[in-house]
Amino acid sequence: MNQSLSNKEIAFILFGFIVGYGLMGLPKSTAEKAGSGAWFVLLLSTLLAVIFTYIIVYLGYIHENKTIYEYSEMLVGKFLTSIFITIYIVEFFAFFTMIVRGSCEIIRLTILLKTPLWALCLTFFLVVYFAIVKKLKVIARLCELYGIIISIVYFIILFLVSTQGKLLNIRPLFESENIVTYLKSSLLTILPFMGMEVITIIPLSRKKNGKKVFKYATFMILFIGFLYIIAVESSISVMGVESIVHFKDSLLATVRRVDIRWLQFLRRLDGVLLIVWIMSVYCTVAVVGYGIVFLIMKLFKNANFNVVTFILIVLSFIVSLLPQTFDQLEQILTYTSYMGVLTVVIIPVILLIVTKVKKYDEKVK
Amino acid sequence: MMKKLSKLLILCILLILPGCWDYRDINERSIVLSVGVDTLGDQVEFTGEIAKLRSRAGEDMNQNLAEGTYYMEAYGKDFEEVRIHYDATFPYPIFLGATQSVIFGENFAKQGIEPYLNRINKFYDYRKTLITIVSQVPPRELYKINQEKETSVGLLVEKIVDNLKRNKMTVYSSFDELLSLIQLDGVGYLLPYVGLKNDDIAYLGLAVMKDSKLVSIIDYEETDGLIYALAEKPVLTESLFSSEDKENKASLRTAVKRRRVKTEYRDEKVVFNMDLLVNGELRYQYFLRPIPEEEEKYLENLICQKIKKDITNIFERSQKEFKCDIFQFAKHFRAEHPEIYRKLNWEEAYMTAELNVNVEAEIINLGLTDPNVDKK
Repeated sequence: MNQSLSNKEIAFILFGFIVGYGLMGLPKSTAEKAGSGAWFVLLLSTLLAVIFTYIIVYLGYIHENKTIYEYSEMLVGKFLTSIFITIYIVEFFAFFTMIVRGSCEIIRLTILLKTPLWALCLTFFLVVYFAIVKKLKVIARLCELYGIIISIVYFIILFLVSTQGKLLNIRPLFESENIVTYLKSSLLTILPFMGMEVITIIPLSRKKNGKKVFKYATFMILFIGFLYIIAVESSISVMGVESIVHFKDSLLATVRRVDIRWLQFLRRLDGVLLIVWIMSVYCTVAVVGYGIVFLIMKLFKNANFNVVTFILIVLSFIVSLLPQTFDQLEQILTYTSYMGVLTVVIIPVILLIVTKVKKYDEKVK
Repeated sequence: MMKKLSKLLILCILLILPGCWDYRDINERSIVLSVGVDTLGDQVEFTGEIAKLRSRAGEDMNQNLAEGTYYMEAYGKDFEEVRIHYDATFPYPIFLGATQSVIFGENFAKQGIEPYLNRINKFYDYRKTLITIVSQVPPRELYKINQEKETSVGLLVEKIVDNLKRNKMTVYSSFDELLSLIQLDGVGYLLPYVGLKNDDIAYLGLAVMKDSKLVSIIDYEETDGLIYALAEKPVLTESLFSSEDKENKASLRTAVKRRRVKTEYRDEKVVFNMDLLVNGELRYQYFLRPIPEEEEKYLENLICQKIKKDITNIFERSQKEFKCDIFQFAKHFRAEHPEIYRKLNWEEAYMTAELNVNVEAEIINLGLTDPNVDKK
């Protein structure tokens, strides 16, 4: 059942999970909190994200070939582990359903104005089902392939967008009086980086992965941070802080305002952006979906993987249609992100402390 | 069995995915090329041009041909009501994705165009890169003018304005800039102003918008100062009298090579310092005369004075007449002094602000003809 991955695949699974739905509204949310100092806030939160990723990878590395279920049971016992796993399942499930709903909602509001929401959600879930039943290795390869395409296309689009922007709009780059605001906002801006908890369900092997896995994971988080900073700054350079804060789909809104003549038939880039964005959401949802099924399988050992996946898809489809409004959906997503604090910070830190107290790490050395 | 089933499934998907079951042909849509917005009495008026599309009879029925435009007109107490009347006159659904320009009548512009800007912003099918224009003549009259330069009036107006912008002969805010500027207090913006000149549709200058309301017009001849101060790497043509021969004029191409704006806050007063480095190239003289070094210096000095005067004149008008910051100095000041900017009322601060323009001009070449040749 446990499938190990290469370092590159682990890095791209991180990319696939983290970069996705959140990027669309990221320029708005960071500009709202920190104005033109958004880049600094993102830099701080990237560093925070690197620390937490390091902790989670460390746990996997010390407890070789084990996933969170196994090493947590060894460290804190069966009862606490069931609670931990349930928290992970609930968080993943909420993400899984709400991200699909949110993405379909954005697709419906931007390109497929007349398509009913349920049809979009159903199509999305069916395609995701196909990926999940192929299990982790295939999802990792998918993330790797898509990740390369997504990052290249994003960088090209963002570069083209920034050529249309004005440097004046992103100034002042830094206000020393606002340093407290920056620090406070960096804690909140870490939410778009949530997703490194996925490493808890990937067994690491000291032989296969080696110490290099730390480098790969850290580098990937830094890379994502860089992508976020470029995305936010180029959007602000085109729209200005005062205008961008009004757009929930701030990245798409920015790209729609850009018209690059020499690109001829591609002069409007919004179509291309939507395609890669949907690809990145697909990666996120496939990884999260696999995560849920994997953890459920750990709790109910005799269940059939494909059946559990099928039940999950049906259930998620129903739940995804429950929120009545877009605002409700966003609220649920915000609360789920707060749950991320538990799964990314508190639970791994508890497990790390116990590992240290019980001196598991010394056995490794 | 499974393989056969999946093949069948793929075939089914192929049938579903193209979404062709409720498609509409292009000639079954009313493609709006240009929209005019104005007021008539207390009513809002929508006018515009719709592409005439016809299939070529007898030839390939799928090939559509643009054959000029239809004119349309509708009235109502607000945008929504006009749209209801508008829709009621068309056999096909309206498509706004091809609209290149929105033309506001003077009356409507004086009342404020912000509501319509928000409408463009939020309507999915409106392009966000369209040009917004103010017209001296009500759009309903403008669209009815017979002209042969382009297939439609909207297209002609858009092409004229776009051509001037490409050649750095005008400077107005694009749609995305407008959205950002209307959020800043005390900051105005400029829109192209078109109308009739000798019975021809022409660009007449720039419309000054304060709080998205038309407050004044800057004539085309007076826009040089704004172009030097705002356009990206502008290149203009200046004709200057020579120092000795008052009949002779030198035609020079002037290019801004560097422009720096620094702001200060001194004695509770906002100060803008604008430094310009301008390169001049002699295109030709009205009469061929030698240009010694002193003459070059003289011409350089004239360029400096001319540019300085152009910019300060408009700046003074912006303080006294327009009462808004059309130079967008607010953005520069905010970038350099964010703390003070937050405390200031920009509209008041701008009225008492001071502008220092420092122009350095250098004539870098006299062209390939040599006016200083020794005649034997």
